[in-house]
Amino acid sequence: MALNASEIAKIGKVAITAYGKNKPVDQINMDRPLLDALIPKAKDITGGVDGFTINIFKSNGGNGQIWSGNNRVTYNSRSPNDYSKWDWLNHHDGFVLNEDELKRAGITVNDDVGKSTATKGEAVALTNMIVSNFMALEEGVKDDIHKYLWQDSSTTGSPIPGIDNIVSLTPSSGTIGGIDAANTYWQNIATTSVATTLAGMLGALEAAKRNILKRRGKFTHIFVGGAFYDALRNAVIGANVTQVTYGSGSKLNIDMATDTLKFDGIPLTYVPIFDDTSVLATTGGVAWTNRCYMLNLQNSIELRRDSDDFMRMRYPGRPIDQYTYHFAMTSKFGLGCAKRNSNAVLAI
Amino acid sequence: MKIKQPYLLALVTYSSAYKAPVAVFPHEVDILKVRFGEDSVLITDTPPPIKEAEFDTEEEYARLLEVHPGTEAAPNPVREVFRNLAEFEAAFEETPKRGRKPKDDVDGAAD
Repeated sequence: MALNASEIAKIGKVAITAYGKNKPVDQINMDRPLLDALIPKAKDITGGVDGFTINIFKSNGGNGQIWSGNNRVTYNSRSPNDYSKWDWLNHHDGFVLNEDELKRAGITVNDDVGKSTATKGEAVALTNMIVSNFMALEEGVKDDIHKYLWQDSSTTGSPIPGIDNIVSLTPSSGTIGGIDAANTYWQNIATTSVATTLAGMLGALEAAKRNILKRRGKFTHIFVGGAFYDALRNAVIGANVTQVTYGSGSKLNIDMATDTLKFDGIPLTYVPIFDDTSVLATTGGVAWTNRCYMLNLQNSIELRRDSDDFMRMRYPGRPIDQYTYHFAMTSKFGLGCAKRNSNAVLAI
Repeated sequence: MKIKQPYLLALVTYSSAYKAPVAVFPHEVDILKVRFGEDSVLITDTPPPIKEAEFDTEEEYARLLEVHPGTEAAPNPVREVFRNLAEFEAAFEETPKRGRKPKDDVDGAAD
């Protein structure tokens, strides 16, 4: 059986890696701050027909009255609780190796059962090939999950909402988590067309903070795109003048980089994929690079995942009509939100 | 070709518990309907976050193909509505013709 060009190219790269004795240096993967923040606090998906629910408290149903003397007072029935309903999805990614690829990489495959008879060279080649492919698989899966966590379902086709849906630019429309977003308690804070002046940006951040605090909410993380970060940094720089005086013979050590931008003690975390339209395409006219998300990842937005099936390696059996080896990684996960009004999205 | 279009707020139904708004150009509504089903896409009266925007038709067609990819089971919904860029651009060339008033009316308006 002949090899195709891409198979030969793959084998060539693996062979070079083996001779070079260095781990392949990653050129393309980006940080995934949302996934990194959510995973440590992820909750388990338990069985159930309809995904999972999160209980919420929606109304005091107050019936307070002033009375005096023989006035009659009234009582009402109350229904202060409700629940939001969320679902999870199945995610798969996988790759295949065929016997010709392996042979060209110096690995002979047989159908023996029992103790391995592989040579040292075969073991090195196989390890390099598998390690590289597994790294690619794992990084690719993380990238994909991170994208699904952010992006709107109309783009991903995902049956579960992303942050773009939960913390929406149009927060009063739709049904999110089974609750009509027309309910004012079930709306996140959203401000678009924020002026890129210091007053405009700080005003929007302060207003969002105040609106979050209004209902006893809080935000724990701020995620921004490059354009929002730059606009805020430039606005801050434009409003501050630093004067440096130094005498002859002295040396200056000036680091021009911005160390950290913070708001209310929370650092603004740059999300690299916000600046990559091939990953997060612009929808609704509001580019991701222009956005700032103030999220509550402590007790509002949560990741639910199956602890037994989240980035789990799978080894499907060999098909009867192909001499191939399949490797896959599967995940079951979904996002839930207990309090939409504890989150905000701003956009310049 | 540069075109200026308003945004509409479409509501896409994914399940009984999940209906999400998305701001789209008018030409994207049919694509959403092909992708998610005719009855699953409604146009709302809610104003979108951005009123209107100008786009280059070539870039917009490329964006649509990226945002609405096909699957193994279903062909690309964009190509189902606009088979190629020329067809996409033709849709905008036809729009003014459809809205043009009869000659008599135009003359009358000039008076």
